[in-house]
Amino acid sequence: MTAPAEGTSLRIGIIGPTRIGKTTLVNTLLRAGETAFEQTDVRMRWADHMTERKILEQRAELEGWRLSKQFNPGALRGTDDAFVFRFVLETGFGGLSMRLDAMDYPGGLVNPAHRLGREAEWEECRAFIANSTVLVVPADAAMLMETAGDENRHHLPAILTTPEIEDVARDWARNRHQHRHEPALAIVCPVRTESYFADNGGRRDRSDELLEHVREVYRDVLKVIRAEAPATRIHYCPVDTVGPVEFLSARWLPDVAGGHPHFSAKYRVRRRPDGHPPEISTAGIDDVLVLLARHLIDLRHRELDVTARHHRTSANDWAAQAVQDLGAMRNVWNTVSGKRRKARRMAEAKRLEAVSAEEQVSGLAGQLLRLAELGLGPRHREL
Amino acid sequence: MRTHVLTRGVGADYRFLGSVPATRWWQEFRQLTSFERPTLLVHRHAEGWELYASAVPTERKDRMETVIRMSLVLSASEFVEEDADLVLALVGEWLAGAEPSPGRLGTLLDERFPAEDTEELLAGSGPDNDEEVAGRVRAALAQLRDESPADDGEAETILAESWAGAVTDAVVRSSFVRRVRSMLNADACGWAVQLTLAGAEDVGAHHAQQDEPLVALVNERIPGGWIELAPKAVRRRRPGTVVIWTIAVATAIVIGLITWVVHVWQPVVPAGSR
Ligand SMILES: Nc1nc2c(ncn2[C@@H]2O[C@H](COP(=O)(O)OP(=O)(O)OP(=O)(O)O)[C@@H](O)[C@H]2O)c(=O)[nH]1
Ligand SMILES: [Mg+2]
Repeated sequence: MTAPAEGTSLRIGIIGPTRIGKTTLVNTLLRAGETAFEQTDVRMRWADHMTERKILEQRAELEGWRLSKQFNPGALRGTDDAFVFRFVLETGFGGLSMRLDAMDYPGGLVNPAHRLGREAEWEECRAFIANSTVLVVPADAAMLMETAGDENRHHLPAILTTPEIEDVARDWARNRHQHRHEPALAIVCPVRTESYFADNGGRRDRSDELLEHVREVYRDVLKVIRAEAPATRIHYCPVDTVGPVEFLSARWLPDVAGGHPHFSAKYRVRRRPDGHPPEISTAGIDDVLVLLARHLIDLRHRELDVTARHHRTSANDWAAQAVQDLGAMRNVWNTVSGKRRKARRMAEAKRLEAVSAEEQVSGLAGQLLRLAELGLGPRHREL
Repeated sequence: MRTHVLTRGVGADYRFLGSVPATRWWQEFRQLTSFERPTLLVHRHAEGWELYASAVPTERKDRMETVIRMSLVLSASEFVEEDADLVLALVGEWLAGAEPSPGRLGTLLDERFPAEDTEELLAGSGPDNDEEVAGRVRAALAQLRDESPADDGEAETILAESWAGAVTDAVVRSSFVRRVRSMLNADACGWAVQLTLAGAEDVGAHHAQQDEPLVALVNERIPGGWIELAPKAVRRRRPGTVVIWTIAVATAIVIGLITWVVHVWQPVVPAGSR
């Protein structure tokens, strides 16, 4: 593989409150990225030692419950300080790869009431998200589904920080609109969806209900993206990051400081008919990965296309100079002084650069086609 | 000794029980360690020393059944022997085994910060709590000091100014504790850090970007136990193109002027003098 650090890294901005599932989502995404998609060789992996270690540390926590067979909905520690996960996306063509950064941060920073004294940190996270090429919004499916008809449901915007998400989404969308020659991608990712789909061990399919709740609760977030960056494609990708667990019950805990109550859910581990220990079984994450890969490869494809055209034009200009008729005297002078030779040399060099860029452009176009052929899973919708 | 404690409650998110430290200076290492796991940072600078001990597990759990952690931020601008003893007890306990761990400190802090009191402190978090919080931490540390046997560690010590060593190596650990002691006494400055993510090479890359001495315990096998970190490379700047051009143009102007002066002044010289 070629050096990953070609040009600057692209960014994935994740916006969501504390304990929503940001860290788990990034971790799950990388796990999915480790195995290449069939026929495409597109892969995502960590780009530095620290990211690798971080992922492994977290995995030990995320998977510990398999042995105890008691699912702990809070097994993963909340994030204390921002950390940038650094990834490489291998395009699967000619060793071409792209650098990708995702900033993970304590979700408490999103909420102004919990941010006290950490405003500067929040500004840094916010700027990172606003300047990201992709916006990812994780949502808590259990909270959306299990509070329907509940008198405490009016606390959802405050707990899910939807007004703050709307603000960040506005900044992101405005930025995207300024780069409107580039495609813009936003992905809404409900997590903890195990009990609402029947495709990953669940018994009931309540996916339509979930979609409705997401549309309702995140309405203003979706609205602001559409208003500020109308060309954005907003995708909906519900994800099970765990798999063999079932929502059991939920309760509201009062807040000691008199703030909004806290939603607390319990899960049980689904028994396997063969009695073996449960296995992590993710669902829906491949859709996120395919969308990301398509988007990023598309960006690189466009960039290379511009470069290829530029080289081609420049090659043609030099070639024209090499044979240009400037009248007998100057023609002789240009030949004697070596100007013509230089123009021919430059034309050839530029032609080679153009050919190489054109090869990459068509290689990436092929990869995009293959990714498109892979299609997206049945959970995916476009919003 | 100024004391800040960061923790959370069943519902309340992580926040400082008392006042908030003026800066989150430990963030300098945020890409090299997981503050969600036991990490120890000590920094000595011209104005004093500061220590950050992160992720001491408590017996409390939050609403999601996640174990709640406590992090300590200690700092002082002058040397007080008693404070130095308390800090060294903490550092000694932290590095007592091959795997860095707060050890007894967790239990002692739990005794001083029971769930009910902590929830109350969290509900009214702010500078008013500072004295109370500092008193409780001091009591826990004092008990730790009284319980821990005086131990001078390995006789051997690493003499290099900056190094990265395997945390599993006993000589490396005792050299680290000695460095911290010198830092508290103001005999040494810079950083002494125990990190969870970075390897020796990553620490080397970080060190190459900064000027202060740095000793680091890393979670990695290192042949010989430790490696010396090269001081920040003194980059001798080569003159840029602009400078070269400026010199060239200036030289050309001077030569031009001299030529002109010689040329113009020649006829004025009296004919008789030739
Ligand atoms: N059942 C289930 N649990 C999940 C899922 N995603 C996340 N969780 C659990 O939710 C808990 C919180 O997730 P995190 O990823 O730590 O949340 P976060 O947004 O990073 O939280 P902060 O770091 O506090 O901002 C973890 O313990 C996960 O195990 C999911 O899809 N299904
Ligand atoms: Mg997190």
